[in-house]
Amino acid sequence: MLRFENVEKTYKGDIVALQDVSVNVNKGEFIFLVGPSGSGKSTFLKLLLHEEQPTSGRIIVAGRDITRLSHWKLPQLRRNVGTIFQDFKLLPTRTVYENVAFAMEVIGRPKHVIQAQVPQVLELVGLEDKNERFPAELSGGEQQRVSIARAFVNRPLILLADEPTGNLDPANTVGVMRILDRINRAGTTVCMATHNGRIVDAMRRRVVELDHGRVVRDEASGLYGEGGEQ
Amino acid sequence: MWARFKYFSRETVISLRRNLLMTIAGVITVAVSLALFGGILLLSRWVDHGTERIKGGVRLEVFMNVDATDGQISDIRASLESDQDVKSFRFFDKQDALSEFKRIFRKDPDLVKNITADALPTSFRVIPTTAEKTNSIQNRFQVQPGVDDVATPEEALRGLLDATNTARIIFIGLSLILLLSSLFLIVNTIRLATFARRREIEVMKLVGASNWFIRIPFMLEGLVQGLIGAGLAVGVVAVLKVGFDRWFSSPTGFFREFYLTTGDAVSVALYVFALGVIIGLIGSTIGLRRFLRV
Repeated sequence: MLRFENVEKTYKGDIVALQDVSVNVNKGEFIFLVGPSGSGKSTFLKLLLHEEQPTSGRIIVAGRDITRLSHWKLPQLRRNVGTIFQDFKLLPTRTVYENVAFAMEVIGRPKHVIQAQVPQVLELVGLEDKNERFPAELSGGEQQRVSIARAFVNRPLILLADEPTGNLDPANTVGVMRILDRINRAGTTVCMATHNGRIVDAMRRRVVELDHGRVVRDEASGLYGEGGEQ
Repeated sequence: MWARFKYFSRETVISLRRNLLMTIAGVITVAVSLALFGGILLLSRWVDHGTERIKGGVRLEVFMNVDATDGQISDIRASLESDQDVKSFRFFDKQDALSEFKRIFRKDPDLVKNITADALPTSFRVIPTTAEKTNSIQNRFQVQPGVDDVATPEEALRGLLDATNTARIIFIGLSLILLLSSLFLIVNTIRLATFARRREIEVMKLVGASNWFIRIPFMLEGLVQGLIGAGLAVGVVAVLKVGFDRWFSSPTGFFREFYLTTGDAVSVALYVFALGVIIGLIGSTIGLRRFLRV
């Protein structure tokens, strides 16, 4: 589903972000991307979204080499890859329902499909009774669930999560992780960058650790710290 | 399809309203510059009609007597052909004279109704080799048998032509500057609109909205400004057309040969309209340029 082949990324000024990174993620896998700040996690995700291009190497997403993707094919990639962020990126002037519906509206889905899908997804994230609320009236955990609903409503093959629990308290973190787990069990590949060791340890999923732009660890059901010592 | 149309028009209206002052400024500048542009085009057409003859180089008209014989006419033709000072000439028969009469007095149907081709004189329109020869040709042909009169265009008309040429250049320059500033205003309005909606745009890109889907509401916003401005300017053109007709309609006045047809007004209006659309679209394209790259 996702494959990095000897990917190298150097930013202007010879700042090396990724060095010879090769990772293969199968359909339906759940992987944690861990590592200290500046280890290359964000670059990894940006490359997947085609926000940055690798200096060398190949990146395959859903069977397609996105390294040389022409910019008019980019929207197609983005429809296959849902994204959630630490800061949610919700539209403050729109209600919960409208925020989710917006993601379908702007890729031209017909109204009856939107009206059928949005309530379903809101139910999946447990916000079916907060349809008409605005983001500012919700807790951080609820806002993140709205953003998950928005990322998932178009049924992407892959869900990227960049520190999705970074702004949340432990209770909300658990809620968000449950939803991501549920989405993953329904068949969506999930790739989550995080600093939260407790989640990683509790979930026991595949862990890819980056350090100074290199993959230093890739374990099938790993812990946050090596050998569980941290 | 209908859902998309509704989406685009809703987004466009919201955006236009959000930037109401900028929108109004853009529309007014477009309207003023296009009205100036349209006005100058109309004036040009009007002067062109009035000075067709001078512009063709015609300096003299040799009018024959109404009852001049064919022999007299061909004598004149022969001496024009052999005259060293005549560059070229053209013969106007009675039928030509009638259609010209009808044109000049088109506001006076009674007069036109009562005239027949027979009552009008034939004439020669003569272009001399140089302007200085005008008077000597006039003197030579004035006295020929069958010639009623040799007319030269009024000097005032030439002065007017020069003046309008100067005015035309100045006004076209002015309207170009105004057109440019209206373009910049639209560019700025679109930039503000994209800035006001940068969160929406970010989300749209994130969920894979196509570039056109993102851009169309902004393109429409620019287009609407261009269209409204052009619409106002077309109104001004229409008023000017009616005004020209009314102010200069005297069949005997200095401007009797100056006129505007409805066709002139329509074609000027079309130019103005097209220019408004082009300005709107170019303005929004430039305003959106930074979003061409996702």
